[in-house]
Amino acid sequence: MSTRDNGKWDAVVLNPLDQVATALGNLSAGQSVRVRSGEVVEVIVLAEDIPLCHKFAVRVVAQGGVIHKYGEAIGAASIDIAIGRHVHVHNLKSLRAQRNQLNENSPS
Amino acid sequence: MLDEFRGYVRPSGRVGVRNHLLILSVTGLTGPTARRISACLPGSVVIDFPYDGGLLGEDRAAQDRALAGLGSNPNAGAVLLIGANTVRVGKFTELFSVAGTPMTAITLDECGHDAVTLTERGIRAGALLSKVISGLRREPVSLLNLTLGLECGRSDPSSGLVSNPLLGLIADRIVDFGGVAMIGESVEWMGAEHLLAARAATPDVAQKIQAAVDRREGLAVAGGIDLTGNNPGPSNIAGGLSTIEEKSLGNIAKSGSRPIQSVVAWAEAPEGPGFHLMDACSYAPESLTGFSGAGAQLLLFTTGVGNSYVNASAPTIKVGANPETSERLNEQLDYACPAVFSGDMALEQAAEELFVVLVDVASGTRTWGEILGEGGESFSRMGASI
Repeated sequence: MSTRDNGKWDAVVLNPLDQVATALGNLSAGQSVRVRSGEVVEVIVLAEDIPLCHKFAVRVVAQGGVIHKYGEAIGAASIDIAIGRHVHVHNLKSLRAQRNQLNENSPS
Repeated sequence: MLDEFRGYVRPSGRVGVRNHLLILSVTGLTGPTARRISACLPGSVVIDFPYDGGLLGEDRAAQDRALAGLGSNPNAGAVLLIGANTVRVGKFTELFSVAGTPMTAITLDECGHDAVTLTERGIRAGALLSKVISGLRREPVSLLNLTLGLECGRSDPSSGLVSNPLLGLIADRIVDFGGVAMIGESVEWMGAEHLLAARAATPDVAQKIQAAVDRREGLAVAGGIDLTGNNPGPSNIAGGLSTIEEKSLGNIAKSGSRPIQSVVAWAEAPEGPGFHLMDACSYAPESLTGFSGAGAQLLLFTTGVGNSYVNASAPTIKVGANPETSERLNEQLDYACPAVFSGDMALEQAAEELFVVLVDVASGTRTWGEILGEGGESFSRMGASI
């Protein structure tokens, strides 16, 4: 898959609270990618291949830490996640509709 | 400025964007006859409800509500109503008579339960109805006559980033005209329900939003399923969505920004204009029938990785922004805007373009789904039969 090159950015962070960026093309391990967050574009080196539309960490997240996208919680890290790592079902777990959590979280 | 479309003004005053001869079979017993009749009347739309005897309580009420809603959807110019017995069919003929829709009812009871006789009578009656509605003409009407249903299926992150916010802009615009717009798929409000509740027009509506999500969450837990792998499903996960919260936050972007007036049940028509929520199953075939059964004439349906399904009653405009999907699915996406995804086009500009497509389709331009015959209706079951 080719690397997207529009001279602008390769991935986007949707909200300043977010720990993840979304890839706007198929990105490769070792690649220095331009990540836009608001008006700022920063460069991050990818630790692994990131397919189109998938997420990668732009900040370190410790195991158990809540991960945000759109500025809202989308789940928690199941292991420590380093910058540039793929963030997906292998290391990001939903906090909803789980048998042992519903009782604690459901409104009484 | 676009503020009108060309539609069929019905005797009820409601406006159709299509002029279907609807062949509506209200019992599973007459489904094959309905399909035979439809095959003999090109252009007709057939809905063959697969149940009847044994339906109970809430389920019975929901099914009859959906059938009544589909038969009185203004996209139906005329209805050929088919059933087994005159009692059940009579219930619907009364309803459709009130709406003033040209209609003929035929039953197996009146044909000695001979399906061949029923087929012949149906073809003749349907042909006559078809002739009658072919004389109807479109006329310019305000966009406030539109009721939109907004759906997403086989989503990926391009849906949440671009396509769904795009539908949100369209929903706001229709609501501002005085029309109606709604989203369903209540399991996909989970993790985003606080954002919807904050827009509720009254505390009661906010409470209903939370209750709808709690009920779906309870169903998932009671069913013993891990939502990850189910919703998001395998195609969502392959596309890059990781959790139900992430999917929900993208999903509700379709709802735009206007106050939420009510929470209705599956196939229940919202009362009054504005934006509404439908507490219903997220599976697209059932969800879309919920919208057309609730009176929506026009549907907008975003996809990330591709989804060919459309509704039979209401034209379904397919929208996508994933660059690979946009390139691949020429005969599926009625509007694609990969340039917004890549940052080369403003979302607002795409909304202007999509609005033109919407008005065109409302005025008669066919969607890919219509051209290719991808439409169907699917009925959500609410309980067991006896």
